[in-house]
Order: sequence, then structure tokens, then C-alpha cells
Amino acid sequence: MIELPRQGLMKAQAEVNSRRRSLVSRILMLPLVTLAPKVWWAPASSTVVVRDGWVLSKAD
Amino acid sequence: MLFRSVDEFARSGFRPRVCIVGTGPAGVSLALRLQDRKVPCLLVEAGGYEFNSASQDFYRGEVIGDHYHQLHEARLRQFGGTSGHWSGWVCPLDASDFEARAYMPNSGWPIRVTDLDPYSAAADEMVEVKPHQKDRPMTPDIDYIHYRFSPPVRFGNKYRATIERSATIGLLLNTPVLELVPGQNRIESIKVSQGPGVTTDIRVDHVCVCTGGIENSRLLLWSNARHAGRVVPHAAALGRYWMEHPVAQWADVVTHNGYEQQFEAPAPERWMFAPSDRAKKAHGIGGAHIWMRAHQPDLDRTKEFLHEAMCVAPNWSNRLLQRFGKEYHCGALVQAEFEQFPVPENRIELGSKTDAMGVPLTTLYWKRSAAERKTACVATYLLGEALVQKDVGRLRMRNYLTNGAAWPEGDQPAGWHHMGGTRMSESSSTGVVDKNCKVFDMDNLYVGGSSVFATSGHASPTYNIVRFALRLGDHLASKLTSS
Repeated sequence: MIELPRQGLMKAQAEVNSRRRSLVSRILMLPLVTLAPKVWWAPASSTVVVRDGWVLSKAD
Repeated sequence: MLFRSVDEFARSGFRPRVCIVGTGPAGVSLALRLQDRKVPCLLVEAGGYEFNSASQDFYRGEVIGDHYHQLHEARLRQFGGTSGHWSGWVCPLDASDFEARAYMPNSGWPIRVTDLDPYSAAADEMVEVKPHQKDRPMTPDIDYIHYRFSPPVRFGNKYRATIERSATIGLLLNTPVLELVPGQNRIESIKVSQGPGVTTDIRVDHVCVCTGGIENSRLLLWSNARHAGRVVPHAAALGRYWMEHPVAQWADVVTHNGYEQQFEAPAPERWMFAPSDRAKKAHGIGGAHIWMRAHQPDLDRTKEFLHEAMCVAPNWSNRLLQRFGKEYHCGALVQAEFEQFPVPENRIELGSKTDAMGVPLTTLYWKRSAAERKTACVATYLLGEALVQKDVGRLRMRNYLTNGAAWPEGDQPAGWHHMGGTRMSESSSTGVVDKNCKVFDMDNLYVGGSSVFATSGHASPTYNIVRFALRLGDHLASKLTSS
């Protein structure tokens, strides 16, 4: 086995750490919305209703 | 005053008080303001009068997160900067954008909109638009807002002759700044490239980094890395809280009663829709500007839309059909550009690859959050409600807004607006620059451009970049003439 100089080892370890950090960052940045529960923030309103995505008056 | 080389500048005897790195709208506006205030300055531009592919390669980078533009296509490395492909949309930030909003973590600026108001008239003149008109309420929750359109002004074309002839503005082209070199709580010099492997230092009195909403962070991060954190001593927020204006098609509408005239008005100005301050506060959503674009010539879309309406809204459809031939009806897309909440996870970092001069390329971490989805859902709903209340049309929300599906990957995921990274704050723990755009605990280092934005609002940034630069020019002139 070839023994690397201490500086080389530290650099190699730093690169491994950097790659690990980078991997964690990438995982955290993956789009999560498809895993999230369906959400719908329509505020309560007495004047309109939402039907199949349409915003309508109750008389429509 | 154009210098053909750093040597020519050094021999000239011209002694600028302010060195401005970058010649986009921020750099040029700052230089012109300093000229008005009789403060000599030097503009240092990495590119030439025209961009080329080799120069654009310095802007390449990696994006991790949501689908986004290619970074080397999202800005221009040339005299005049990214105004060279600016589309010209002009709108001031709202007063509420500057306030700390309880529902928006990390919001709030150390200045108010009234700090920028004095610079609006000069900015109007620079970008060649008429004065802004106040918002008008459509309903309590939806406002009409006034958008103006610059021709658009290309800062490089418009101001080239003025700067070349100026006795107090010097200009160096094709001179990339590689790093800022610090002394004791100040920048002593900038290291510039004069060709492959040849660098030289230019000593500076004051320096203002105006290289754009990504490059400002990149240059400061790299300078900090090279000099043990002595360029930005408090770097917790450096590169972070980066923001865009996501763009999306939110809905389709059919309008009637001649209402289409409200949104088909031609440039140079147009009224758009926006959630009101009341709505933003009541529902905890960000800002947005919303516009409609007629389906024509894609009338099949309108037909599909009306066909569906007959099932879900038979009474309204019958009423609409009875009016056919008597009045104009218009099918339209509802599009919006909207505010992104500032979060530290959206950030710029130095990547592992380097450009041709050995400077690390950008890695941008960017994605939209649940907060932006909420803004889109609620604002679309409120617009639909306003159309019902005024009985001027009906709106159908896009499916992804109601079923939680992923954002559609369109050609334009966002507005090409790069904001944050060197944000303005009361404190060095949450920002990079103070209320005067000065880097915390550095005596002579300033930042210009939309990287100082603490929150983005919905307004397109270029006009506000100009107003900030004019304000910074006044601040620097007052500081330098009093010292």
C-alpha cells in the first residue's frame, strides 16, 4: 500500500466530505411537491364556489 | 473616457474616487449619478461592447433544484450588461414590500419605499417611461396595477457616447476582476486580468460591486475564500436568500361585456391585476402581477373551455351563448409573475469547475416552495372571485394548482430576475449590506444591483436597480465630499 503524504490525505478527505455535503444538498433540493399531500388553499367565500377548478357564482 | 488598457489608465493620471465593477444598469446609473455630483469614478467591465460565446462561458454554472434557465443565457457579459436583452417591464416595489411581514420569515428591509421615491423621476427618464400611476382597486382583494414598458433602453447603446466623452467617468473594457484584495476592514485593490496568465492590481479608494444578481455573490464568495473571510467579514448570509420571480400560467378565462379592452391595451403601458395588500396580509401570500393574453389564434382552446363550462356552469354558459353575436367574447390565458419567499436554502455557491481564469463557476440551488404555490392558488382564486363579483367573466384554474401536481416545466420557469445573495439588512447576521448598500464592517466596499434585495416583491427589478444605484450615488457623493 502506498502511504499518501499527510497533506494529500487531508485533501482527499476534504473532497470526500465536500462530495457528501454536496450529495445531501442535492437530495434536499429535489422537488418534493409530488410527494406532498394534495393541497388547496381556497379561502372561504360566501360569493363564489369552486367546481372542477372553475371559480363560479352559485347561480352559474 | 475610454482607456484601452490598464497601463493606459495607470499612466493617465486619472484618479477615481470610486471603482465600479460592472457596467449593467446598476453600474452605469451609479457612474452617471457620481458624474452629476462631480465625483470621478472608474467603470471596469469584463466584456467588450458586444458579448461573444467565449465571454459568456464565464457565466456558465450548474443549477440544482427546480428546472431553471441556463445560467450563461440568463445574463450578458458586455458593456451595458443584461439590459442588452431586457424586455423593458417597469414597476416600482410596493410600500408593503419593505415591511416585515409576520407570515413571511426573513422579510423586512432597513429602509422604506420613501427612501427610493426621490429617485423615481430620474429613473423614469433613464428608462424612458412616463410617471407611475397609483394602484386602483378592482375589488377589496384585487387591484389594477400600472405597468410601464421601456422601449427597452439598452444601457450600453444609450450611454456609450456619454461615458466615452465624460471627463469624470473612466471606462476599462475586457478587464475581468478576479478578486478583491482586502486590507484592514477595507478593500485595498482589485486584481484584474490583462490576458491569459497576466494579472495586475488596481488600487481603489472606494469600490462598488455591480456585476449582477449572481456574479456579485460569486465574486465576493471567491474573494472571501482567497483572503480568509476578510472581504465579507460576516458571511452567514452571503450567497443566500437568493430569489427569482417564478412565472406560470395559472388559469384560463372567458371575459365578456367588452372587458378584454381592460387587458389588451398596447404598450407602453398596461393595467394588470395584483392581490391587494389586504389580501396578501389576510391570506399570508406574496405579491404577483397577473396579466391576460388572448387565446387567439389558438381558438380551439377557447372552444374546449366553453364546452367544459356547459357541464359545470350551465346557467352562465346559456347566458353567454345568448349573447353570442351581440358582443365580443374573449378567451385568454392568465399568466403571472410572482414573489418568492426569501429562504437561505436558495443560494449561490462556488462550484467545483472553474472558468478559463481559474475562478470557480457558480452552483445555484433554487426551487420554489409551498409558499409560492399558496400565492398562486389564492391569487388565482381571488382573481376568479373578482371576475364573478364584477360579472365580467369566469376563470378556470389550471389543474396543477388544485391537485398538487408538480409545477409545469415550461419554456420560462421564471422571469430571468436574479435577486438576493448580498441582501440588505439591519444586522450582519441576516444580511451582507447595510441600509446604504455598504458591506458590514468594511469601510469602502459597496454592492449595487438586485443582489441587495431583501425581498423581491413582484416588480421587475431593473427599474428598482436603477433607483437603488442613484440613491447609492448620492450617498457616496455625500460621504466623499464631506470627508
